[in-house]
Amino acid sequence: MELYTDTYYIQRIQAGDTACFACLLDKYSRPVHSLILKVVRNREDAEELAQDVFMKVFKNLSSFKEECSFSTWIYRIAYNTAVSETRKKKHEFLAIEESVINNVSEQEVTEALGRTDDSDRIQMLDTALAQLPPDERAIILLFYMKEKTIDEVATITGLTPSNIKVKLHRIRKKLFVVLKGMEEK
Amino acid sequence: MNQKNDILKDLFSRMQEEELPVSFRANMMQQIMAEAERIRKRDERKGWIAVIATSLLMIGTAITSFLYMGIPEISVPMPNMSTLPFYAYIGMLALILLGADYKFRQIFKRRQISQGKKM
Repeated sequence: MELYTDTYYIQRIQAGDTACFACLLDKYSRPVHSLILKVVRNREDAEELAQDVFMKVFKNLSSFKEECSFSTWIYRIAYNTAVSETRKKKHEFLAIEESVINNVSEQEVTEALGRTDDSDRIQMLDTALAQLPPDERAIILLFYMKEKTIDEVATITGLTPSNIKVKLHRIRKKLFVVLKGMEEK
Repeated sequence: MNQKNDILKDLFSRMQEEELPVSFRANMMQQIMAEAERIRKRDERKGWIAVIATSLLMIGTAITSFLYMGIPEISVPMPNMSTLPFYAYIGMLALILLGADYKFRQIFKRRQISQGKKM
C-alpha cells in the first residue's frame, strides 16, 4: 500500500523539499529503466538515458498539469527519450511482407510455443522483440508489460487510440511470425 | 484485442524487470540536489537582477522628474550674504577664546602637579 500519492510528492518537491524526489525515484526508476533498456538494448545507454529522463522530470515538474497520471507522463518522457536516442543510431530491422503477417494465426503460435518450456519461451519473446523497430517495441511493452490502456499508450506515444489499436494488431502479428519462425528452426 | 487468453500477455507478465545498478539512486539524487541548488542560485540571481533593475529605474525616474520635469517644485532660499563678515568675526573670536581656555587649563594643571610634588 502506498503511503502517499504521486501528487503529494510532487507538491512537496515544488515547495522546495527536493529530498522527496527519492520517493518518486524508488517507485519509477526500475520500470522506467527496464522499458528504456528493452527499447535501446544497451545497458550503459539505458542507465544514462534513465538519468536523463529523471533529470527532465525534475526540471519540468512544474509543467505537469495532471491531465494524465504521473506514470503516463513519466513514460511519455521515457518513450520520447529512448526512441529519439535509437533514431540517432542507424539500425536495420525486420521487414515482413504483408501476406506473411496476415497468414499467421495466434492459435498456431500458441500451439507451437506450447511445446517449449517457460524460460525458453520468454527468451524467444525477448529475441523476437529485438527484431522489432524501437517504437513498435516500446508500444507493445507499454501495453503488455506496463499494462497501460490503449488511451494511455496513445497519450505516451502521441498517436491516436485507433492508430495504436492498428499498430498493436500489426506488432502482435509480426511477433507471431518471428516466434513461429524461431519455433520451426 | 482479446487479452483474456492472450499468449503474449501471459509471456510478458512473466518477463522480469531488469535490476538497476545499486549506485543509480545515490547518483541520481546527487545530480538532482546539484540541479536544485543551481536552480536556487539562478532564481536568487534573477531576484537580485530584478531588484537592481527596479531600483535603477526608480532612481532614474526620480532624477528625470526632479531635474527635467520639476516635480516636486523645491526652491532652496539663499541666505543674505551681507551679514557674513559679522558672523565670521564672532566665529573667529569664539575659536580664539576656546584655544586660550585650552592652553590656560594645561598651564594650570602642570602648576598644580609640580606644587603637589614639592609638598
